[in-house]
Amino acid sequence: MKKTLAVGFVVAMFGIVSTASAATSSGTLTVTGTVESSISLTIESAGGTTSGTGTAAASSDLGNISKFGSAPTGFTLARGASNWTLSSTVGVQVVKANLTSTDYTLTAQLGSAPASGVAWKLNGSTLSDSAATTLTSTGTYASTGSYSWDIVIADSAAAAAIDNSINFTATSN
Amino acid sequence: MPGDFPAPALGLFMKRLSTLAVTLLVLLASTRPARAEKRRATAAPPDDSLAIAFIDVDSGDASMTAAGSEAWIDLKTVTHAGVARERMTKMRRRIGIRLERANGLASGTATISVRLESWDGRATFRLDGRQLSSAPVTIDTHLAVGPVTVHTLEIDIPISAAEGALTASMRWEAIVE
Repeated sequence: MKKTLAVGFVVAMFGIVSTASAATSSGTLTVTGTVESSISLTIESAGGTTSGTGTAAASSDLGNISKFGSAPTGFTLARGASNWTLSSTVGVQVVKANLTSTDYTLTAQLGSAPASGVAWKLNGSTLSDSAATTLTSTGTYASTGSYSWDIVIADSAAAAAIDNSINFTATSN
Repeated sequence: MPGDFPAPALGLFMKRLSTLAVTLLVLLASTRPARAEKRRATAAPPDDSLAIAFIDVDSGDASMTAAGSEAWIDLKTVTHAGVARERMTKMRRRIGIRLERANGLASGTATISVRLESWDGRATFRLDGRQLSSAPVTIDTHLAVGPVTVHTLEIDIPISAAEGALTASMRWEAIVE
């Protein structure tokens, strides 16, 4: 009699288990988009009292400058026979994103015509406001390139502001 | 009178009685579903099946299209516009889901899991902080049926990823025990 009850219990349990099951439902979320390549340029350093370094729009204040005065912060001053030169460096970094290019070309151009008797130079090349000057055609991404920066002022130049801007352009190769 | 049977005969009788009892129990068990089917045929119980519905919870963000258990997020053109030193393009979208029963009742809970069904490897996906892969990741073990719950999908695209089309498909599953 005990054996019969035991068998009956097993059968009953089988019946319960066979009717219990997990209910499942599902949904699908699809994400699409287009990844576009890009490069970014930042001014990392410059002579003078700078602000905005680490961004694409830095500024540098040289204060009042004169041939026989002291050099502005971050500059050296060299006096020539008929002119004087303020020298420093500009650090420019270009980073890339989602791009297979291995290097870039960097150019610079003045934002406006320089004051008479004042020459702006980068890497030894005189800049103008009419055409871009190539600083490098093999720039290394994510590495700060240092470019010599000279402002040559003739003794004959009028005592006035020499304000200007240098526009850098990086193009992936 | 049992006393009138010899011992071997009594044993045989008990054995046949046991076999008969087992047979009856098996027959009983096998006929119960048939009866239940008949009952269902005459009076079908309410359908309590469950469905996942996606809900667009960011009305200001037109990138999501939800249609029941299917939804699409179009990131459109993705350009690395963060700080130059950041190694990732990071995006975040909020996704609402609601568990719905066919009978309209808001009762019970379910376990929600999500897995990547397909993806091109350009991006990594995290849902509520958990990185998704082809293996199911449990998002919630007691998600209530009825209310909308909001989940955050984070999409990271490394700057080393090649440009081009990005696509991924995520399978959401709700399981009710």
